[in-house]
Amino acid sequence: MIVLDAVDKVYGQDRKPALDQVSLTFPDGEMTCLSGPAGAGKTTLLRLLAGMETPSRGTVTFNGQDISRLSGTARKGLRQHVGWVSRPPFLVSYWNVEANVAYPLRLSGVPESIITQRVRTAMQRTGLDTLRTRRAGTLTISERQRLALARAFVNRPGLLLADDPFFSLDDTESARLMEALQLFSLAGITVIFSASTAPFRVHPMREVRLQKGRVQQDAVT
Amino acid sequence: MKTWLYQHLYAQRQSRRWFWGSPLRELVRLLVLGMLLAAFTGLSLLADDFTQPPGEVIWLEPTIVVFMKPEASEPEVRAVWDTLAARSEVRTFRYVSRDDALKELQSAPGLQGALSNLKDNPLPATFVIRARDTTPAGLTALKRFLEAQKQVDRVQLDESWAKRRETLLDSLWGAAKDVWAFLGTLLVVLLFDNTVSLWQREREEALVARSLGATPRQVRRPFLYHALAQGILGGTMAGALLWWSIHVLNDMMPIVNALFHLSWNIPIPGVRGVVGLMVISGLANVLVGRLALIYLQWQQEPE
Repeated sequence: MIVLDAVDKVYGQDRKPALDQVSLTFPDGEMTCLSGPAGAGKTTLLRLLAGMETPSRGTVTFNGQDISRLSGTARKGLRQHVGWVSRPPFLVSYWNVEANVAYPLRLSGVPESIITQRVRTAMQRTGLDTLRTRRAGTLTISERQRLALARAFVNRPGLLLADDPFFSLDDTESARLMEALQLFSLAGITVIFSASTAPFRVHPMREVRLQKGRVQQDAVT
Repeated sequence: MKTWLYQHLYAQRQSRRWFWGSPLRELVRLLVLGMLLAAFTGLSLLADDFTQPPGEVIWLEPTIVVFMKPEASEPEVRAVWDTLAARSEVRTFRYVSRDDALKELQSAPGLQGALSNLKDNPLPATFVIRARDTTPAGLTALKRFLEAQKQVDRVQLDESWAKRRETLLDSLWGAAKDVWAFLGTLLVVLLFDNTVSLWQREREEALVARSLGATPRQVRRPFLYHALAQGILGGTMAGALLWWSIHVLNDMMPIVNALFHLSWNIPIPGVRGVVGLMVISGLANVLVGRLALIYLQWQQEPE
């Protein structure tokens, strides 16, 4: 479970808050959409949850551990359990889909026999199994997003964070991506993603609406 | 431990893939590295051989000749011999008795007839000396000491040649050191550039790894393995080039040696020498590669 308690985050010399007194709780396995206009603080919140930033005030606790008090090594260890999908996703364009998905496992020193199995599962869940040998550079935006999701999933994270994964996707592509995210959530992974407007959904989902760094609305819709 | 091993194996595989990814470029870089290393090491070997006594270029070295008085008795000559043998400033010396000197002279073409009419041997006994300290000051000091010896008639030393030789050697040394420093700098620049170019070529992989939470050490690892392999292969190539070029030079040596009455041969580096060159080159490449990575480190790090 992740708990944010009265979190402030300020940047720069003008001390303008990107997040202002944000208190939220994210139970395990829940899927949450952080919505709001540009500059509402969605990406900052995701970066705080990923341990890439520390709060200016307040605490962020991950299973009872205050992230800002963790040592560098412990924070690195924590990041192993966090899947991060950036916008645009960083991919090795001249590698094929399979090699891209397997990359985090190879970096972590996982044996090849386990890698093959996990990569296959991740590609099936994201509908990439037919694109196995395609070069990442030749994929559509939607396919690239799903590839980034598969790559984040393959490491079996406890928390999956995606920064605006639906950006510039049409409805069909968004629905496919949403389906993949929901599958991850059903597998027990806490999924938190940002979107400027809440995307199309089949199942009810929690939506936290941010405005100027504050929580404007927190409801299951 | 197992995870660490797998990580290292993957880094090695990655570096091998980079190597075979553009074989022509890698081969050209290896050739340049090999040639530079061979020139750098070859110059060191030559300079070493030039200054070390066993292979010294003796025709450049000034000698001191001590002429004994004609009336010097055998015990008196023996005393000078013992003095020379005991002096640390004397590196080697050769004694030429009066009879030997006459024989040498008689063997010279055209002099046989003239010398056969002599009643007595007019030649003095001599000592031909090579000094340890070949600077003009050192030679002059030794000359003065020898002049003071009993039954020594005169001591001959071409002081002006000693000075010219000293100046010539100083200039040669200075030039060699400059070339050596230039080659060394060029080597460091080349090694640095190798890693920088590799980073530019493969930065996509490195940046993706970083965005996936890989530690800086993990990202650096394949670059350093690549540097190590490149260094070792460059060292091997340099060893092969040195071996070949010294063979070619030594094949020409008999002609040079015959012309200048020398017995000079450049020593060929053995297996130990080549292995040493490979190890030093590998480690130097890793060290310079590491510096290059510090310089590059996360200049364009993704968020």
